[in-house]
Amino acid sequence: MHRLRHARCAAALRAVLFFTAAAFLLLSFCTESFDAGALLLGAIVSGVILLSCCLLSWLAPHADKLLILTIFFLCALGMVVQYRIEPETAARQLMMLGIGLAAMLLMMALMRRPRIFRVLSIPMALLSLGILGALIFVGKESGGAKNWISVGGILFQPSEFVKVALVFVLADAMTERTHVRDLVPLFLFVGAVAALLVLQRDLGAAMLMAGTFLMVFIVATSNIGATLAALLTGGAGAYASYLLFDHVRARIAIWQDPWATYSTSGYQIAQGLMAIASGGLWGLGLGQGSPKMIPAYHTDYIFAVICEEFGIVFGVGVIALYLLIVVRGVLIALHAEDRFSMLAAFGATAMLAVQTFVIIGGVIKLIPLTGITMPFVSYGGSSMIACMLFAGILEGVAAKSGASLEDALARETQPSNGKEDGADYEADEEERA
Amino acid sequence: MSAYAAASSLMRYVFLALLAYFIAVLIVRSVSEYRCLRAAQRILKLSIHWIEVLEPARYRGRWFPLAEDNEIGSGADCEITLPKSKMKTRHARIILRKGEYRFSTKQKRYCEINGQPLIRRETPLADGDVVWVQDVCFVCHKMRAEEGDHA
Repeated sequence: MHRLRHARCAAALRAVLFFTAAAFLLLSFCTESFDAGALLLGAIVSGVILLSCCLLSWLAPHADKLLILTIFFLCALGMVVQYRIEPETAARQLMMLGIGLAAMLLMMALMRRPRIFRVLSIPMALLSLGILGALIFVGKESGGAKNWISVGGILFQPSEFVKVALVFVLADAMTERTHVRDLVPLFLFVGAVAALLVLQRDLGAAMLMAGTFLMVFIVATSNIGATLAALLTGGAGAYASYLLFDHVRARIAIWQDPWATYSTSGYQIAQGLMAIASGGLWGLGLGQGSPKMIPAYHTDYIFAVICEEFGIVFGVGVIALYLLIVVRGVLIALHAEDRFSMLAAFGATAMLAVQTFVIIGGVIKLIPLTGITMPFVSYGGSSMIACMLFAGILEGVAAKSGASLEDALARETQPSNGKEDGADYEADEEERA
Repeated sequence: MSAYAAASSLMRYVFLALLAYFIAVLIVRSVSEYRCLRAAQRILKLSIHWIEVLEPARYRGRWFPLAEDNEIGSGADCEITLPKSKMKTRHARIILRKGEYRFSTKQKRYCEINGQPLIRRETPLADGDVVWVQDVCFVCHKMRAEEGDHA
């Protein structure tokens, strides 16, 4: 049977595996004595990537393999950078990648029946509001934001899972309703989520949710007037929070001139910019930089570490990888079978795109810095699982629509008995004679 | 400069080359895959995919899938070949043009579509259209009927 998602991925897979192997091999010589742990981790990461690709091809032949390989490239890059800084974090991240992959496969299986998420949409919305509301009182503060919760000794960030819930809530609400009047409850929900996140001082997540909502809204309704009105309302809300909250004012001031407060609040941005500048176009070389000079080097500021050691040109290449994820995500949404799947796939793509823009824009001082992770690269269990869930949504939609399209093609263009009547015409003629 | 520093400096170009190669592969494969998906969707949008022969009686019930360019005639090299009919070796064509199948022939005298003589050089075909060419009659279909349905 002719495969629609036919792209041969062996070349791309080889590139990912070679990159992983070469980087970990180099890292094994980074310390004075030979580090066998780096080689072992490199072998495990390569094995996980290879095994996942084989498993995905076997379980879902129509899944988007190029998308998953791009994600694996970013994961491998993140693992290399984390091992170079702190080997223990890389080992923990590998465990999170494994859990994330399992979550992705589960999400792919569930996306075969999108109705499940439509039924669960309202409970998910209420649960999200409940968790975010509870965090204001019971949340643990870390990095200035009160958005962590501890369950059985394990710390996690519920806002990461609220992002996934939001994608389904948005897709469900706009599948049948496109008129602004019918979407008022949705506006209130998104407004409440953003307000709760601002109260927790998690400005990055609030910006992410609002940005994704606007993108899904304009795609679902094509209502430019309402989108502009929502944009203005969001802008007014942002200005109000600037006037009301000290920490928002401080963030803007740091963004405008990090050098003025270099020794205190501006230290992080200034160090990040200096790291990027010291790397130059081609980088200092893996293991040659000083990433520990930057605060939050393995989470929010991992892009600065990449630019310092691999170079700005490599950093631009990493941004290109994210762009390719966005392009492939949009194409998956365009070819989706039903409107709910289309909106869910677009929502997942928009969420990844906005998250990447917000963190990379913050690191390079394009926009005010807010503490969120770089998808698939930064250290963080909740973030990795949430990003893999988005990948699962995209792969699930791609697998389902690809299979349906191919079935339809086979039904309409291939003979039911596997042979064309005209093809064995001569034989029939001879038989008749 | 230590050996590791030299190796690390060299490897940054290798990593960059790998990333560039990976991106190039992704772009080329994505374009090719997108074209394939678009072509599949275009095929699905077509109004007909099959023709079913009704006359003459000896060929009744024969189904032919339509390709991009289909010659109809008694010649063995035609895509739709009915050797014992009164058609010429290459009598007519069904060709895919501008997203639709069109019927064309130079022998308009004994040709008609849905009982109407041919006026234009190319006549678009739709699902259910009945075409007569000399003693041959066929009907256009979007989907092939199952054996039981047809009977």
